[in-house]
Amino acid sequence: MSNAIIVKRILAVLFAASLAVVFQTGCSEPSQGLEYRDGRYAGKPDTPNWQGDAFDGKRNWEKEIKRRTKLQSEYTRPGGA
Amino acid sequence: MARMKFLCDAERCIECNACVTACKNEHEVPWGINRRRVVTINDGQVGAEKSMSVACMHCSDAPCMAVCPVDCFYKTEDGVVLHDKDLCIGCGYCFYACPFGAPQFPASNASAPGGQATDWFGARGKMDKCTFCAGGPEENGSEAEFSKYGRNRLSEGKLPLCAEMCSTKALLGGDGDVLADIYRERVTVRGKGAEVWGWGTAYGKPGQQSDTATSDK
Repeated sequence: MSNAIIVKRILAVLFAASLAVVFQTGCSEPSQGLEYRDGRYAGKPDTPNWQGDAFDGKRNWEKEIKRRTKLQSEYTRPGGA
Repeated sequence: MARMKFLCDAERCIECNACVTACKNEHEVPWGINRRRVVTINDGQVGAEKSMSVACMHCSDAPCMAVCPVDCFYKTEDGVVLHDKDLCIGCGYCFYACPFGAPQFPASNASAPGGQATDWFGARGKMDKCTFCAGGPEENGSEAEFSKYGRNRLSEGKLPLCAEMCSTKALLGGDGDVLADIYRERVTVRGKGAEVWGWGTAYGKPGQQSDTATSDK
């Protein structure tokens, strides 16, 4: 087998492999993870809701959100049914 | 960690559209866009008519995120699905993927100024949808965030206005675990089927009526 044919076959295999990678990437789904790293969610910059002047840390913010969520129940809120 | 969810109780929704109005007012949503709307089925059929307030449900496995060709969506630690309008190309794939019809586009053939055709790619403009009152990528509470995504109530420790001001508390919003507890308690107390509405609810159940009658004597 001549060198030219071997090179052609290697190139064909490489081309097929690169096509497979392209299709694999195109058909895959982006991650729907909730990780917050380096000021970004899945690559998009945003500031977490608890980071601000209104709350002293994440725990306080979560506590307030939970309190307000519970207020939606008329069975448990003060003066409720 | 809270997982933010909406829950609409079809037994309580009275189709007042206050949630829709509150959302439009709070975020100054432009004409033609409804981030939230009330859907009614079996309209006019006594006992079978049900209404439900629908917006982005902030899916755990969001189809809009899966189909977006420019990957402009992201999910916060609280499970709120948001998107970056600077990345959005207005292709409309998310609209076709969403089972709730949540993604909205500012321009259509009907609403375009001067009756301009909007059948060319991207002419519909950047997608807009419910943000669970959590704003967007811009700085929390900033003018830029408000103009693009509306008010950021979550960063103020508040819940979405549509849920917080619902007069019958049909629409609940907040931590999914707490909402499940509220709904479970509600269903346990009120029962189901004909017990929820109708004669028994309005005038007392048969046992209660006989008690009243006995005490009257």
